[in-house]
Amino acid sequence: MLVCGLTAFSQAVKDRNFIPVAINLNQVLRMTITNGGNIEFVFNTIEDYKNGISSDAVASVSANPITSNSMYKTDFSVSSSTRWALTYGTEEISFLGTDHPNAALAINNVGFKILSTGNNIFEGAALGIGITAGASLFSIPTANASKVTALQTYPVVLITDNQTINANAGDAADNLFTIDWRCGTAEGKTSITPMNQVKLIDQKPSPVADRYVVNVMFELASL
Amino acid sequence: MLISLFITILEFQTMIHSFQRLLKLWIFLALMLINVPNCLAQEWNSARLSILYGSNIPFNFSSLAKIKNGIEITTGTHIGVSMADSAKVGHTLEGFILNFRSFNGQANIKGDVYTLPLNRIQVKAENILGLGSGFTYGYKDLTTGWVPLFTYSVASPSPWTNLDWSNHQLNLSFQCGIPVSRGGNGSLMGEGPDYYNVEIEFELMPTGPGF
Repeated sequence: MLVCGLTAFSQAVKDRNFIPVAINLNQVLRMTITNGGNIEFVFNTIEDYKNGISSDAVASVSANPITSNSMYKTDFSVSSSTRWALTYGTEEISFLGTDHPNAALAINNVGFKILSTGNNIFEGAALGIGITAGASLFSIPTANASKVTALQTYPVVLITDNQTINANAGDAADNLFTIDWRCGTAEGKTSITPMNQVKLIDQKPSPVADRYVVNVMFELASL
Repeated sequence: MLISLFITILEFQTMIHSFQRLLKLWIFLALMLINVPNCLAQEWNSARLSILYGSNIPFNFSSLAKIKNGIEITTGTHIGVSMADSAKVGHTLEGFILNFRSFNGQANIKGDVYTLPLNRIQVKAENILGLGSGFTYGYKDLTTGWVPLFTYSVASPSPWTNLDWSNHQLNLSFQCGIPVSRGGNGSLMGEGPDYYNVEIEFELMPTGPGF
């Protein structure tokens, strides 16, 4: 018994193998202006000076309501694979005259309202960031697309992610926007950044007749 | 004289007894020290999982459409199944089950900076040769625990026929970043750009009475 120490094994045989799986996520980040890449307001009547010109003529009670609506809109889309923020602003602190380089026009004579026409929607008008679960866009200057804001110098964060479970990442169908420009309408009295509340006809000194120009830059960044 | 002889005989007998006791002790010690490892091993079956094609699966999300809709690799990996019964009493091989999980309990899909949940990857096993009577569970989420993908069984009284890799093959399909609306666990929209990877472990396990 002591000499014969017998051990017996019996077992089921299994087998294993391994497959490595890799995921390569490339960054996609693109802004495309599809319409209204160049906006020019032409004041050629007293009515224009009195009431201003707006793409949102009814809301603005601006001059030339029939022809104005579609003339001063900018449509753009954002395609991003990650959460993003759009920063904007003018290159200069004021409009500069073309014929009279020393003449300037305050940039807050121009304002705009932004509208989301894509699948992504803005947070509620009076709400802070990240309150509404389904809302993925947040905008401080426009009070979440509810108010008119005056043009500001670069850099100002115009649209950013609402920090909810629904990222503002998406394609052009998700992130499609319209900017309704206006000039001399003295809107946005209750906005964070209101437009010049004095209309062009009442300003003192009166603006020198000229063609005033400024570039508005947009910068799209991944968050 | 006789007394002296008697005493001598007694001493000689005592010496013999002492020698016998010593000999027994030596034998006992020798038996205690000698180790004879006798092992009998018997295996109830043999099993082998052979990767024939697609030993490395890359998902390349190079456009917004792919990130939004996900990627499905229908012809991902071909595996051959070899399995034989050793006819041991008390064990009857009737089939197998193919399981999968993340290797070594890896809890997420790791990138250099970011991570993704494991369930962004789903795997499906289907017959492509010789295992048509098997059952596929369809696309299943990758997890840290074993999840069945495919079962094959030859129920009694049908005789078991050994499987070999050249005539019994499965195809593994992989999908990643499929939206919830299409049966996935969410797209990769909004996830950080990175190079993520995970190793997937597959297990071929015999089934039948006694296993």
